[in-house]
Amino acid sequence: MTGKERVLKAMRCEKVDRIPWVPFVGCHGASLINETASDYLQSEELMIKGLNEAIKLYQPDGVSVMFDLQIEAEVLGCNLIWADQNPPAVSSHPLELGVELSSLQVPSATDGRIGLTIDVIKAMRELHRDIALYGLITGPFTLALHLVGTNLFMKMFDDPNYIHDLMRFCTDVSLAMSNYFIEAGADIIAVVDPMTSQIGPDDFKNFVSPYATEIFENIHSKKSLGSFFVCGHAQQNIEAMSDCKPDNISVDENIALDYVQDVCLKKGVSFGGNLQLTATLLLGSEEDVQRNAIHCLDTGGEQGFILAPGCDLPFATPPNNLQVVTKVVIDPYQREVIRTMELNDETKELLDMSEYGLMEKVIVDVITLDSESCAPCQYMVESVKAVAPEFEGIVEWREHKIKKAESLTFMTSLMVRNIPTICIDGKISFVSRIPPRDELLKAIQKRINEKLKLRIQKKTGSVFILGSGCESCDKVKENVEKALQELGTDIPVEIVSDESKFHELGISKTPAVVVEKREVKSMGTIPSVDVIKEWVKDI
Amino acid sequence: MNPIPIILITGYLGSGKTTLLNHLLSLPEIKTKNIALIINEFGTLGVDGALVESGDFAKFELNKGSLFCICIKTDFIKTLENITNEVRPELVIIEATGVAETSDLQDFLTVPTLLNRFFIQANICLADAKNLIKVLPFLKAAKSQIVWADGIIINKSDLVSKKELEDIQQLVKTLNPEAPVEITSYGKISHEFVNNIRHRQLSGTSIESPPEALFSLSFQNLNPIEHEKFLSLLNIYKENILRLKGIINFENEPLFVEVIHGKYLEKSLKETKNLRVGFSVIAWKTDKEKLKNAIESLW
Repeated sequence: MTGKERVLKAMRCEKVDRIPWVPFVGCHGASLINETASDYLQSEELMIKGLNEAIKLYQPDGVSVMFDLQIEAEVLGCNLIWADQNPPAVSSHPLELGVELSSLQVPSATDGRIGLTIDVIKAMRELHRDIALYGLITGPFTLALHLVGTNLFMKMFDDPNYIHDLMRFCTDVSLAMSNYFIEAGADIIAVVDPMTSQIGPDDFKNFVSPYATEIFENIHSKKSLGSFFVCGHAQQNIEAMSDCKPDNISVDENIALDYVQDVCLKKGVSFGGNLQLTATLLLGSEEDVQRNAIHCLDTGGEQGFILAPGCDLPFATPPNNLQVVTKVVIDPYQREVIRTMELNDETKELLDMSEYGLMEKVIVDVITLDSESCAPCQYMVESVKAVAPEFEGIVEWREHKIKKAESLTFMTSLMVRNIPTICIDGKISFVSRIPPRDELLKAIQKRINEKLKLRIQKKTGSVFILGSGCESCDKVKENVEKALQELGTDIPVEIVSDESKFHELGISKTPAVVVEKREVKSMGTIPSVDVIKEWVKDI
Repeated sequence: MNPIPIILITGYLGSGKTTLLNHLLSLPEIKTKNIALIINEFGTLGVDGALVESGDFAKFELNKGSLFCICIKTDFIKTLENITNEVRPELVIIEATGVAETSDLQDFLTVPTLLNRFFIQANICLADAKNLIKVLPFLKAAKSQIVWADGIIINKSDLVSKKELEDIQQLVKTLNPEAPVEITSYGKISHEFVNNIRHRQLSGTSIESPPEALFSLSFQNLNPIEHEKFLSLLNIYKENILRLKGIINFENEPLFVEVIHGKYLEKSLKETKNLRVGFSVIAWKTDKEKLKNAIESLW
C-alpha cells in the first residue's frame, strides 16, 4: 500500500495496513534548508526543496503543500507582515478601512502567491506520485475575519445580513481555490478555519455550516476529498463541523482525540491529529514525542485515523523529534517498547553502572521486549547465542526482557533507548539492528583485546631481593637488574635486609627473590561487597 | 532568581486596553520600575504599538494577527525567554489580543523553560460598557476573559445609560462573582485597585461552571407581523431583552427597530442604509427556546 493509498483509504474510513502519518510541513520546510520563512513562502524553488527534504527525513504518507492562511487575504488587499520563523500575519483589514465588499473580486489562478502554490503542487505531484498531497485553503470564516477584522463578532449582532454576504463572498473564494488546487493535482483539500473556534455551535450553524457544506459538496463533485481543519478550543463545534459533509476533521491538542473520534466515526467522518506542537514536538525530548505519538496512535486506532500534528509545525521543530514519530508509526515493536516503558514508569531509580563490565569475562547483554513475542528481538538473541561459544567461556551473555521491572531499570541505567539493543560490557554496541556474525565476533574480540590491554596497563609490581648483604645477594641483584633492563621495564627493585621481614614473606634461606604483583581494582569509588568478592576470587 | 510578576490585560478590541496600559505606565508606582511590555493585538499593528506612549521600557510585539494559537504560543514563549535572559525586568505587562483565551496564556507559562520564572500578579479584564453585551454572546473569548479575570474594569461608563451600566454590572457579577469591579472611563484607575487585586489560580474546568447568562437569537423571516403584537411581546420580555436590532416587516411598512436596555426606538427605512429584513436579539434570564418560540409565534 502506498502512502497516498493509505491516506485516501483512512480518509474514507476504509481498512489500512497501518495508520498513515502526515506531518504538516509549512514554514518548518524553510528551517530544514536554512532559509527564512518569508523567503521560503515566496519561492517555488525553495518550497520544493524544503518539501523534498521533509519527505526524505520523515517518510510521510502525505504532506501539506504550503501552510499559509494569508494567501487569499493578501490578494484581497490585506497587508502582511513577514516573519523569519512564522507564516506572515495580516495587519490590516480592507473592509474596515472603507473598501466595499461588492468591489472585491474572487482571485484568479495567477493572482498573488496562488500561481506559485499551484506550481508547487504540480511539481510535487510529478515528483511524488505515491504521497498524498494536501492543498490548503483559508476557510471562509477565517478569511472573513481577515477582511473585516475583529469587528466581525460585533457585526454578527449589528448586521448579520452583512456577515452572510461576506461569508458568501469568502465561500466563492474558497470554491475557486479548491478548484485550482484540485486541478493542479492535490488529492485532498484542507479547509482550514481556525477562527471558528471562537464561536459557539448555534452561530457556527448559522454563519458557517451552509457555506462549509457547499465547499465540501463542491470538492466531492470534483471527485476529491475534503478535510475540515480547526485549531484551538473548538470542541463545541465538532458535531456541527461533522455535519458539513467533510470526509475528515483534523484537530489540535486543545481537543481530546477520543471525543473527536466518538463524534466523527458515528457519522462516517474520519479524523486526524493531534500531536502536541509546542510543548512536545518543539520543546520536548525524543521520549516525550514518542509517548505522545503512541498516545495518539492508541487513541486514534486503526479505523479512519490519520496521525498528524495539530497544525502547521513550528519552524524550529527539531527534525529528530519528527523522525522518531516516523519510527513509532512504522515499527510496531517500537510502539510496544514505549508502551511497556510507560507502564513501568515508576522504576525511576537507576543502578550505578560505573563498575559494570570490569570483570574478567566479557558480558554481552541483549535488551529485548521479549524474544518469544518480538521477532527482531528473537533474531538478535539468536545471533548472540550462536557466537558466544566461540570464545570458550570468556564471554557470558544474558537476555533482559524489559517487561520485567528490573530489566527495565537495567536498560535505563545503561541509557538504552531502543529495542532490541546489544551491549558489550555495558556499552551500547548494536541498536535495533541484528549484527552479521562476523561483525559481532569482531566487536566482542575487540572488547577482549581492550580488556587485556587494560589489565596489562593496570598491573604494577616490585621485585624484592632478600639477603643480609652477602656477595651472592649482590650477584642476584645484578642479574635482576640486567633482566629488567633487557625487558625494557622499570619495575622497582628493593633490597630487604631486615630479618623479621623474611619470616613475614615466608623466607627461611637467603638470598631469595620475591615478586609482588599489584592490580588496581577501583579508584575513588566504594566497591560493593559483591564486586570485591569477584576480585578476591581472582587471587 | 525571583520570579518576575506579570500584569495581564485582556479585553475585546476597542475596550480601551491601550488607554489603560498608558495610564498604568504613567502611575508613579509603576513608572519607576524596569518594565517589559508585550503587545499582541490581532491585526492592528502600527495602531496599538504606536499608541503606547514612549518611555523607558522594553517593548515586544508578538506575531500579530496570527490566527494560529500555536504561532502565538511559540512566539510568546520565545519572547518571555528572551525577556528573562536579556531584559530581566521587575515587571512584565502583557496586553493580550481580544480573541486570546486567558487560560491559554497562563498555560504557556508552565513550559519547562518558563516554569517558576514568572507569576501572574494580576489578570485584569477590560469590559467596554458600550459594546460588551453585543460581543459576549458571539465571541467565546470575550466571556472567558471575564470569567478568568482577577479584577474587572468596566470602561467607557460615560457612554451608556444608568440602566445599561446596572445590567452590565449584574452580568459581570454573574459571570465572575469573585473579582473586584471598578467602573471608570478612559481606563482611569488607581494604583491601589491594581495593587489590591489578588491572582486566583483557576483550573481549566471552572470556565464551564457559570450559567449561560446571555444568549443571542436571529430571525430572517420576511413575512409581515402585527405591530401591536410585537410591542406587547417586547413588554412581556422587557426584563429579558437587553438588545434588539434590525428591520421588521410590519403590516403597514417595514421599520428599523432597536431596543437598548429597555429603551425602544423605531425609524423609517429612509433613515437607514440597511434595507434587508431580519433582526437579532440578545437576551438573558429566560429560556432561549421559550423566547425563540414566542418570537416565532408572531408570524
